[in-house]
Amino acid sequence: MIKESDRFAFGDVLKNPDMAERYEAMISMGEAGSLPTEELGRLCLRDDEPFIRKRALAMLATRREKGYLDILCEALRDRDPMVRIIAAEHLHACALEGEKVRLVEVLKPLLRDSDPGVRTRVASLLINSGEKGITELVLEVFFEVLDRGRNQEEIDRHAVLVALLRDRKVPKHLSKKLDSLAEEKKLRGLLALRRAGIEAASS
Amino acid sequence: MANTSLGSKVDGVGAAADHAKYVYQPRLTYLGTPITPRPKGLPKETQSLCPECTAIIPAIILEEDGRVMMMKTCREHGAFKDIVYSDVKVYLKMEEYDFGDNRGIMNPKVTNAEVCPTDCGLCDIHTSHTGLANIDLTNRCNLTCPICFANANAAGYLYEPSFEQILKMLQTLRDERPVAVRIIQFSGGEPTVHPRFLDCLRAAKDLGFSHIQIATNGLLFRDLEFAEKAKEAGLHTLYLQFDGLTDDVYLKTRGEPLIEAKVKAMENVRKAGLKIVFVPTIVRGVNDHQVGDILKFALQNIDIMSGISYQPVTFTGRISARERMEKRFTLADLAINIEEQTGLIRNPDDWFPLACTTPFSRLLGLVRGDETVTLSCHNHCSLGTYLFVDAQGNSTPVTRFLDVVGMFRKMNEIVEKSQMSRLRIKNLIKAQAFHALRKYFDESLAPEGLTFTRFLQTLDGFVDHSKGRGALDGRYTYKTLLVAGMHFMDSYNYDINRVKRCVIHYSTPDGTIYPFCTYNSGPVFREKVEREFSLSREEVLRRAEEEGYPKELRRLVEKMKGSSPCCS
Repeated sequence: MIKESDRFAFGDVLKNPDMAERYEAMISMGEAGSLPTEELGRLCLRDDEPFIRKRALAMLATRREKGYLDILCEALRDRDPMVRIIAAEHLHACALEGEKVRLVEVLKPLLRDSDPGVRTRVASLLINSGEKGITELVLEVFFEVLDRGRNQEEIDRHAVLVALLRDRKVPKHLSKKLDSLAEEKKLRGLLALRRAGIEAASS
Repeated sequence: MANTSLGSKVDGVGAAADHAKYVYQPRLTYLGTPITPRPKGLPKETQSLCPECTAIIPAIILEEDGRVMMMKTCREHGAFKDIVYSDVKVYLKMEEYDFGDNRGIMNPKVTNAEVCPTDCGLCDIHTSHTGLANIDLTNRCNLTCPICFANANAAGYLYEPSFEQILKMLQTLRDERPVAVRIIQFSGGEPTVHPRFLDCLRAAKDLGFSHIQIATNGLLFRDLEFAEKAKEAGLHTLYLQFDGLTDDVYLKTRGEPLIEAKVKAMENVRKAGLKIVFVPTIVRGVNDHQVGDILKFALQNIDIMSGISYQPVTFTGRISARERMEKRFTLADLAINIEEQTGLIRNPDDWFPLACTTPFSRLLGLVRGDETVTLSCHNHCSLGTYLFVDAQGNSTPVTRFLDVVGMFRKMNEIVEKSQMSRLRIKNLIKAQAFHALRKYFDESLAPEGLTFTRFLQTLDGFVDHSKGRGALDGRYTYKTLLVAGMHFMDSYNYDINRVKRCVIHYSTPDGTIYPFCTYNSGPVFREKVEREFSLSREEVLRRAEEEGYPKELRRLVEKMKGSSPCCS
């Protein structure tokens, strides 16, 4: 049973303007275990400081209680790119330890994240996870970027994700997708892949 | 002990061409910036800075009378010439054992950099992640060294980040991807005088740093209680300023006799269970005659020593060409002097660049399933070797019983093959690595008691802090001493090819990470950061009063009291 007084006390502490004190209070509350993970997580993820939100995820990882995965999935939508990366990494760790996480499904949207760091980190996590269909997924995003006619810099940045794949060649059945693009887009794609050291068989 | 060096097996004609096939060179950084491989041979072109106006100018590195020189001309300020390496053989050996670059970081602060070193922070051009990170806790210092213009009294302002700022700087380092920074060094000024020094150590531990050290003059460690508290708070190692063994050296470099204080600090470090790395700043004509004695002294105290990091002097501010040439000391001088003064480490056979270890890191990353700390700095930034020290105190360089280059080549080959393979079987990779080590380790040449198993345990101790170096009375790991030289650059020998690959960085309150040689030299971001985040006049006066006007703030306070508030 959670004491109401604890809840109020914690709410007050989280209003403290001194971030270092809020951090220390959060750690103490986490160790005391007086609030359930979900509630504690949501309170901390509301904090304005990314530092608190990042440390909250680290603290909750040590508890691994009910509701933890939901909190991580919520944090994937955080406004700070690094919070999103940390949440993705914790989910990846949970999946490796055998927890029921549909990793590809939850991380897939982050391959299209606006932040290049998030995209790259998430691609590397998915590749290291050994899940099936990652090559197809990463290339699908790349072809999407090509098709949308983004600038060469953006295309090159997405080609780097392809370069993280173990294969140095674009599989034949996926090369066909390249062929289906307009000539200029196709050439830009081939150029970006070549820069990244990837071969693509194209007519 | 046989007087051969297995490391030299690969030297000779055609060695460079032979080595090229073992280099793993990525084409792009993680964010897609093309990487230009390190140029090899002499002469070579690079980019440098004008020492007068810091404009980026082309430079040539070439051989002249057996030495390696840098020559450059600024349209406005004329020609400059400096010694990069005083021995061309050492220079060429260091660059030969290059195993390729890394790919930088996935989440650099600057994602569209165009010019190095000015678009700094880290940026998408940078090819290395952080190996060791510095956080300056303060610019005040309890010494007043005649050569230092950076302390609070001399600078005229106090830079001392709040605890909240320090937490954020630590987090910035832990946020680096794909490898969160694991080694933190608090520096300064003198970091131990920060009012919340012990809290900073605790915070670093809480945030997951696995190795915590401080760059210190050691004065506060004359107090055993302080040493014990620091150990309890999480401190592992003192990066101890140690310029020599006699007071005449300290009088020149630090303005007061200090050897007794250093020895007292060492006694307390021993009692508290901490470790030490000596950091001698070497100036030709001042203490270069003592590099050998410093090594011998470290070996006599091997129970508390984990290394020596010799640092040739760098020149800030204006200095005449003649004086600079007289005082310039390079890594080649270090290698030569150590051999002449001790006979323990042969030049150049026993020395290797720090970056030589990258295949080992790659292999470790492959086994662990994610990239691990990789010291992919430029080959000319550092050189080093490991001494294995037996129970009688005799030391043997690792190269005498291990074919270092052969082993690292094999490791890179294993990594490369596994990267290409769809199946990455960790146990198979481990077995291959084991065989590589076995093949290149010669037990008959190893020092007494160093079996192959014990050698593996010693390597384990290098990566796992709990196993330590020579811990458990040396039963698990063998006692070792890292002897290294790290030559930070100044505007006279600045090489942008080196800066791009730097692995020693600074975290600052604005969330930026700077390579060492952009923070302290070149564009000198330190000045900008410290001024921006320095304390107000009122805060300095309040802090000084609270602390009873400590000596390291006295001159600054006098200056501030003498000035009106609006001028502070």
